Amino acid sequence: MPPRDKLTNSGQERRGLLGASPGQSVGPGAGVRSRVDVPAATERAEHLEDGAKRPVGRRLSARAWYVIGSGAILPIILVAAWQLTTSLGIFSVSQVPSPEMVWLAGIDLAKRGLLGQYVAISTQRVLIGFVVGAGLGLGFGALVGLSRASDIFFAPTLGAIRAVPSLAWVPLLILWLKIGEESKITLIVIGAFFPVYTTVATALRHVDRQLVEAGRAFGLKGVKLFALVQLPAVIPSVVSGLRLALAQAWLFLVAAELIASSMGIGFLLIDSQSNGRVDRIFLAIILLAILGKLTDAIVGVFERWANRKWA
Amino acid sequence: MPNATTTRTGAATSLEALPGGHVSTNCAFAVEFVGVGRAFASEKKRGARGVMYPVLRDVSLTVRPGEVLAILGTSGCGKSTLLRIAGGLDSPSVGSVRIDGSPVAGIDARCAVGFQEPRLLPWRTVAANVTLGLPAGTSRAVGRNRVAELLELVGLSGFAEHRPREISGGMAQRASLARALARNPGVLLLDEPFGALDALTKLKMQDLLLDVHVAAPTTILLVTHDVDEALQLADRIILLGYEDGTDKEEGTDVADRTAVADRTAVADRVYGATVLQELTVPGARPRDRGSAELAELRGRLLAGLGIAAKSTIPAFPY
Repeated sequence: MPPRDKLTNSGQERRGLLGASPGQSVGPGAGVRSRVDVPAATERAEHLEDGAKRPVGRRLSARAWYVIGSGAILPIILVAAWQLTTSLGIFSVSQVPSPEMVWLAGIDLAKRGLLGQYVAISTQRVLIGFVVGAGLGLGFGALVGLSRASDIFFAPTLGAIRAVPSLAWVPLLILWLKIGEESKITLIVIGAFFPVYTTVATALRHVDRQLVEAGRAFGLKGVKLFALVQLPAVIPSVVSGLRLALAQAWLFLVAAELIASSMGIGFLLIDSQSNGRVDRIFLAIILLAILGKLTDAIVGVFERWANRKWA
Repeated sequence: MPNATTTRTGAATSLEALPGGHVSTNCAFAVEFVGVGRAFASEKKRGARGVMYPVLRDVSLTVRPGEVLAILGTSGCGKSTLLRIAGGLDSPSVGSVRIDGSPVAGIDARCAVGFQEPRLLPWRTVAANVTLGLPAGTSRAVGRNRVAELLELVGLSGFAEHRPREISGGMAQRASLARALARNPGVLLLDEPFGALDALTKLKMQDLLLDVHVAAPTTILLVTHDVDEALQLADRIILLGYEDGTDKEEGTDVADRTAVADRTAVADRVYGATVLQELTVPGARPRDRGSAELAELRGRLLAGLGIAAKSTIPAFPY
């Protein structure tokens, strides 16, 4: 009987809403009473939840100094252990230099004006490559994700290009673009392109059809539909794609600079290897770690903002 | 309970407070279905290409301007398909639909759709979601006023800046209704708009819809599987279903068997749901949910939906 069905349906809904079903008894009175309470109770509960968002900041794990302090514990331990092993002479200095030696190597390079130059040129290459690659990735990802025709047309080719190992491009790029900025930046563009392209195309294919249909039903189409419904729906995935792309950009930067360059952190690595300057190798690795983490943190802040705003 | 009551009275008072011309600036349009049929391509793998699975056939129907028409039927009988065709979200395989005399081609600006799910954009506030429904070219100031009016009408003024996930299902559905009304539609298409709500919220939403219809007497096509809802809201009810011997299950089977033997034969046989009954609901709204006259109609409709009438049909929960 439909009326009975309705009774059970509403019972299930109540259970879903409240996590318990106080009014499951068959008695009509009981059923009605709890049903009356439900909407008001949930509305109230949601208000409370909303209002309670601020005081949550008091929790220890949400405090900035605690998060930063706890995150710094392990690096401090690692540096201490490093110092200990070198001062105990467990490894020879030519294999593992002491933290002090690495620090001094950094000071030395800075005094010659090379440290700032290397960091600046590498960061510049990464940023240009990242912006161009991510932009292209967004464009092609949107095209392939939204249009079946361009999916059929582009996806196989792009998939094949993606399958080419990054280093395989190097000889060709050097031949075509010479050992200048263009060849390195192009390699980084390739590296940053694919994470964004893949995540955007996939995410756009899985945008809630019902939302898109609702958008269409209210007269949205084409660019407007994309800007108002589809793009906001995929922003969280886009941002995580950007994060991956940034990591890839640093990876490809080092690949490019290791092979052909006259400055930059990758050059510092390869140059120090041929000179036997282990302290500088350590310095370069630490610089890469810090720079990578720093740029990633910036995208992370953006990601958190985007998730709050769009998810 | 106190909260819910306030909301309800809030809607009622706002209605009275509204300047008459503001909500009901649009006229209601007639909707005409002429021999509408719709078949979908079968998704069965062995069925190969070319096998069509008919859902609707020969639906001819005229909805008068300002009328509330309920479309009843068992699940999967093509009720929603008919509604989507009216709104231009789907197009008929045969036949045509005319709104206010001109044919529907693609998404029609004269219609607004209320879906079974609220389908609000989760990253927009309730007010911004309602804004989405405004007709293209509405100026910012006018739009803002209109959205505020509509939120007041559905009793959500206090929740304008909330995100959809921060409000209850019933409130989200009200926001969705407000978004549809923002379009100032000549035809309001509602696809089981209250189907996912709990029983009490549903009753309140039905009352709200009646209030809205009084305030802005547009044509309403309401798809529902709830006989009581149809009796409460509609001027006229049509019952969609399969004529004798063309039961949906049987239709599928025969279609499949025929598909293997001879693909072209399927098209010659008539399947798909069509209008089985059409009845005018007596009495002015709001109707007494417990009246004997409606109970009799309910029995007939339930029988039409394949529910055998027992000597007494339980009146609970109304």
